[in-house]
Amino acid sequence: MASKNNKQKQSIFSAFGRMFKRLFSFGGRKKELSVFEEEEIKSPAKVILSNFLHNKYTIIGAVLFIGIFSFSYIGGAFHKIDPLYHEPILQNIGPGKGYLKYPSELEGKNIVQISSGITFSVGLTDEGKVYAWGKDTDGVTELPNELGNDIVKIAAGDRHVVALTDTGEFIGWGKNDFHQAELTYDVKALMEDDEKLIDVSANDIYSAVLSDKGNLYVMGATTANGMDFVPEEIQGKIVSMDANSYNMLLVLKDGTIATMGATGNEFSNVPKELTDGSVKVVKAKMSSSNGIALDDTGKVHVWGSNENNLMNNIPDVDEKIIDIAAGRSSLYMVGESGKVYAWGSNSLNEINIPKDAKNIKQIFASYFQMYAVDENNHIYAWGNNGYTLGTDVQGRDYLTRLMHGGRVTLVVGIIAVVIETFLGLLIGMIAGFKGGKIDNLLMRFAEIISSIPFMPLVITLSASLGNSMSTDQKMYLIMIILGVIAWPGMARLVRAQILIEREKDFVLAARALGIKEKSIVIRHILPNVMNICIVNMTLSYADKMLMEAALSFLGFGVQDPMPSWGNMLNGAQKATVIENYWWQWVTPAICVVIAALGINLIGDALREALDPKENEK
Amino acid sequence: MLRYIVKRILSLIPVVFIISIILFGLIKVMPGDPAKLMVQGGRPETYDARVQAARESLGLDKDVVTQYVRWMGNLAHGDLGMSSTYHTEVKNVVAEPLKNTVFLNIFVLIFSLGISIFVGIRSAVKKGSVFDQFWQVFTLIGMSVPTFFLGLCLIFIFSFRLGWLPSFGMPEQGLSTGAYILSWLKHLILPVATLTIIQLAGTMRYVRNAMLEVLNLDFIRTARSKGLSQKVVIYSHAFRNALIPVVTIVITQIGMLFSGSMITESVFKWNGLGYILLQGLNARDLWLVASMNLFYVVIYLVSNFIADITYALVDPRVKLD
Repeated sequence: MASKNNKQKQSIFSAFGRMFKRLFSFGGRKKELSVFEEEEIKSPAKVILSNFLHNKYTIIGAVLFIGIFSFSYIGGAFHKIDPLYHEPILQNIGPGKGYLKYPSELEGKNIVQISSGITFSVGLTDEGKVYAWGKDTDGVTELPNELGNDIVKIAAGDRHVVALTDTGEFIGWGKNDFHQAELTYDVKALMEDDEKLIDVSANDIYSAVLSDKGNLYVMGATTANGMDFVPEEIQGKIVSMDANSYNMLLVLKDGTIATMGATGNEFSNVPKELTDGSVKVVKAKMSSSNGIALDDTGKVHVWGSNENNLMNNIPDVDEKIIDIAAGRSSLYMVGESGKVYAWGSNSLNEINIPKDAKNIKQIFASYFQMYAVDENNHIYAWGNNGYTLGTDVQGRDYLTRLMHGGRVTLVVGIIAVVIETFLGLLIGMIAGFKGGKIDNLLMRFAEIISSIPFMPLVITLSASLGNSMSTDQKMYLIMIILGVIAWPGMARLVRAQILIEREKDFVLAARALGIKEKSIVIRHILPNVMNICIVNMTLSYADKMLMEAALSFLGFGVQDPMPSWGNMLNGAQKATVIENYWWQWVTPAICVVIAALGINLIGDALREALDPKENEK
Repeated sequence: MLRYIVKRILSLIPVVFIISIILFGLIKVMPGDPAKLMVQGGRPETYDARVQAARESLGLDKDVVTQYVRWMGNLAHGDLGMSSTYHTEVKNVVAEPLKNTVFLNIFVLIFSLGISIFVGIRSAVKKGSVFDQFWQVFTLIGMSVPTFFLGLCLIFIFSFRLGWLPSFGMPEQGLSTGAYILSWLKHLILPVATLTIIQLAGTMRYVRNAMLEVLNLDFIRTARSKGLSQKVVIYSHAFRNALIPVVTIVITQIGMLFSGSMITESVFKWNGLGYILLQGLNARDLWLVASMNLFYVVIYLVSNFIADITYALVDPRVKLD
């Protein structure tokens, strides 16, 4: 409004100016003013543009669309995606960050242990006090009341925590579906009366306790991974342990290493020098498929699979190693100089050690959160700090997938619309200009195509043509199907508009002036047809995006692992997802709504701007 | 008029014929052998024999042309073929879903039309008012929301959070008739609401625009200048004329009665035609998919045809030739 007033004022001032000029210039008017100078006239294109730009809907629509567009494209450029990445243990984690945000009270205290689950960590100081931080799952960060200041050992599983007091009393909390967070009667029955627990260990589905007599007891789900039976020859000789889902790594009294659990994998193939007693192991840790052991000479031994280049990328170290640690798919060691060496997977920043971390004396790693403590008891934390929008059923970051899914959905829509418009314009123009038999034939053809209901036809096509295709090809197929099937509407519109325009007076006038037919078509008729085309394209773009979403939602569109807003919603066909994992269906759907709404608003504003009659209503 | 009707009906025949060939071809290139899927499990030694038997029962042992001719021939006297997933005739498979889908859509049609005519007229008459602007925004949002998202939201709110209504599926068997109907209606509420809201967005805009168009015409000014009351002007002069384009969408929507609710049915696992078709597609159920698609086409063509004729009936200016 303000600008409008200004314009009016200006024109009033200039009118006054002209009036004064006329009054005081005695020579009178020298030259005749043309109509265009006398009255301000804007070209139709300018009128359209200013109508379009001064419409509040345009602005809202543009903000929405540009917002969602840059979210996908600019955001996606910062958040790279590895299509094949998946980490099932991180599945269905709710939105939330701050997994690494340890309490400030911990700073400066002597840390005995820090152990992490998938979303949280627990720390133990030498005062015997336990701290928990991160995102709560299954009540792990709500410390039980019986937890006093006498804790000597803690261990975190994926969603549960176990602790030992100085008297050997066992405390467990968190997820307990396999009884992994309690000292079961079976274990109590196995234990001798004077046996005292001295160490605990925890993993995805089980926990283990170690007694002062060197006996190991395992609680939780143990049958499937063969953890229910501790071999006779090692029971009673165990001094320390570490665990992953399938295996346990045990250090025996004589400094050799033994493994337990699933056999036949690369991990259970322990190097000979570690088992025959030629080196004396003081500490051993394990990742999901590798073992790392530190011997009494400060040398490190690594074995296991080469996944994430854990075997190839072992750093060359020319100093004594003082501490080792293992995350789920990354390994760490600390040298005498206080330098931390890390290698393995970096998809969750596991090996992005803070640059200022110096003089490290201890390192703790489990799952995806790593903590290093320096000489002044300052804690450095790195690794997975959480997920703004949670994770999906495969443990993939939802925000990243949302960005890249947007790229797919937006592009599929655009290409489909371009195909639709091209075919529609071409066929509509041929039908409109040629007329007669060709027109009849083409329109019959359009009728045939459009008489098959859209959704069933698209789904049938996608099922019959796209079955043996790769995910990339399937995406192109969806673009083509959506575009090719939608052209009849556009063709009819173009044809009808051509028929209307060519009967109009200005065309007759042009013809009377002797302008060539070709020129009439290109310069007089087509611009009027293009208007309708552009509006229709915009509105159809929104439609195509909704189509893609619906198709992929039903499982006939873009296929996993390629993300699209539609197939991210695919999981929402299950009641558990709708009920418990709201972020998995709400966020992609909201993205679709924002994008479609933005485009619809722009399309509406365009239509109003292009059709001045619309404004008068 | 009669001449036109006969001509139109005759012109429909080649259209149906061509579409049936297209559909048949599409379904034939669909990978997967329905006969093999039909006899999954069972004893391995009789497998080959059973596959052969299944193939014969589905009529797949003949060559493609014979299959097509047989399919069309059977269709002509009401035999829709064998369903490989349900091991019975397609006719029996679709009977119950057909009923469910039609009921669902009739409710939707009644609600969406009732509301959109009422709201459309009001917002056209009171153009620019708060009422009009509210419904304009509603329309815009309604046009941008995917059907299934609205369905999921309603399920989340009304069945998971509030627990008022059942979420998915159909009422369980074995209830007494009264209880069954009650439960059936309860299951119907959320799908009907979803489809109504989505369709409302389109139809309301249509009614409003049609009404605005008419309100600008000269005879309305004449009526007003004669001193007629607003009520008479709107309901007996304007609305009657605005109805003409509305009739067209009503009839096209009747055509959509059968195919328009596919996604909603699949969200709510409502045992309707769309849901059955999706299941059939997943299971490569050849004749089920083919017959149902063709059925959709025929419905669409017929409703289009009826729309044209009604158009001529309600608007004397339209001449059919």
